[in-house]
Amino acid sequence: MVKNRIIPYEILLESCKQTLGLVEYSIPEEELIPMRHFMNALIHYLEDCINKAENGWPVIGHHFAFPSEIFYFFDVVPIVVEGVSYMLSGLLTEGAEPYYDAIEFRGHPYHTCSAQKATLGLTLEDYFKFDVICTSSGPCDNSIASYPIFRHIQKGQLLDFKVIDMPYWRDKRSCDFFGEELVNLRDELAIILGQEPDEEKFRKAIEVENKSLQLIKELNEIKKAVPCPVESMNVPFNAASIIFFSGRFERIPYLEALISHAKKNYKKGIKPNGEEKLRTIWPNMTLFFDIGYSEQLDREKGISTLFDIFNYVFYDPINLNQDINDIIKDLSVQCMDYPMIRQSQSTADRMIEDMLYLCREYKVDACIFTNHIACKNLQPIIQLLREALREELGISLLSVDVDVGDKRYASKESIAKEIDSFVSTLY
Amino acid sequence: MESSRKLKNLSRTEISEEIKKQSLISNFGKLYLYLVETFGYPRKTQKNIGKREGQEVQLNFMALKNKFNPSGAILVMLSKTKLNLQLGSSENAKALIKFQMDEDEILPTICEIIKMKANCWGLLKIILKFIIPGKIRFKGSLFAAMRATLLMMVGKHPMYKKSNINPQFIQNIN
Repeated sequence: MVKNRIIPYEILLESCKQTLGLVEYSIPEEELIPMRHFMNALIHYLEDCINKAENGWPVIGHHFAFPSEIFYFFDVVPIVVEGVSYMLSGLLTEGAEPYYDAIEFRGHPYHTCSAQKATLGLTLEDYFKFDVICTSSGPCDNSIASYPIFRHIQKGQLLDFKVIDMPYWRDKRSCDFFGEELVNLRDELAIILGQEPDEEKFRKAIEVENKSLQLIKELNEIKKAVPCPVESMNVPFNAASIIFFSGRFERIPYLEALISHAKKNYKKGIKPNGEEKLRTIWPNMTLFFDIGYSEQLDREKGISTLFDIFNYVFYDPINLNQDINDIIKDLSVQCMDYPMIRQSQSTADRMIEDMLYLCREYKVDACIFTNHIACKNLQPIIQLLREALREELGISLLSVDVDVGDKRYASKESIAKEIDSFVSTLY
Repeated sequence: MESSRKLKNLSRTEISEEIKKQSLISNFGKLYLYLVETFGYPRKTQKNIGKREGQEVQLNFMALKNKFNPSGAILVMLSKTKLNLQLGSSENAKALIKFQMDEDEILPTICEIIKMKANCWGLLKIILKFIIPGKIRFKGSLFAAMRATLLMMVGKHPMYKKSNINPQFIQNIN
């Protein structure tokens, strides 16, 4: 049996341990709360995945917006392709750049998404040995185009490559169709992996996800308070927790710790990092190559970051008192409303309506849109969103051209300069 | 690929060990940058770089030498405005700081340095605790090395007056 099949998870584990150690041992207890709890949760998750992979469990690479709860029917190790790329970007000096370069050197276009590029590079370098790759035909053309490359670059056999079809429309017919796709996938995986689907484990994963969902909503409610009692740093870590911990219990203690800390701050009426001068939402993503940037904005300039695209959820928990296939169909409805899928794989109205709702509810002063090089599907929305926010709420929007996972495209300094100029026009 | 050539004839377990060592150095660089940018308050230490602007200081982690980075080095490029870090060694480095301790002693040592105040007393503590026992060694320009070390020391930050550091070194480490 091949050993060390998920070397990038081992790299992440070592980096997370060192990061947590440094924070715990040198920074006072009341500081960097989201980072401490997230690193703790991630270490647990990574150790579990590495142990299972070493014990011979099949390794499945999947898209972050794929309903990974479906994998809990089986004894498998689900690896989040996008999570690896962006965690490496956030934790290492040179980020995931050597792996972007590796796959680009092979001819992969530079303007595709860095979220997949690093994992493609890592697979090309033989650091990942996947058994199956699963993705859906969403949320964007980039991921649809990038995933099939795994079939050609992996050294050694890939058992199967699965794409489930996600329709563009969000009506009952589409949801039923996508639900059928998920049921078929479960049946096909059972044959490929030679395992019987275990309904209990799947139900447990959905139960855990339901609990997480309630906690996310609770945390988001707390963020309505002015000043925001949650550190801005929670935004990139919440995004990562949504990406990594679908159907896993690690997200629960992480969110509970954040909520408890936020409630304490709320009762005292304080904002963790000083005065709040400006409340912002980042309608796309925050910078993953510098996970501390939102914290620095918060501490130095009093700019709170309340949400990015991954931080708010517009779907409800799944009813577990029904037939297993109906639960899967409900999961498909949820999946079609996942963060980023909801805004990217549909008409522009959704993004605009969501932002108007959030800006109104959360008393937002400004929006900062990271125009990620690969999010070509969102680029035409920027001007529409800017006009809608200005006309309906009198809020300004700044668009910054970036690659959220690659600092070479737009450096933090150039981004900071644009934000500074923008902010100076608001006071 | 470059990395494939360097790792030729190694088993997957050996490759994993090599790359983990490299990622520890790389992660340390990121954390160094993060600390300076988030807690390097007041930014006086960075502004005081003065004529050291643009100079390179090389930090060598002897226990983390690996095939990608045979000297276990990371470069700090001193700057008043934008601190830059890069993996690997340089011939132009003005100063060399060698961390001579075992792998499991590196993190506690760095944590100790971070908590110190960026002043003469802090530097004296480093000399007594780490340089005299031979855990850390300097080579080249002492002032450039001092500047790079002072940047890391954020003990003056007001957060240290408000609350305590968790006395228990968390169980997850090592």
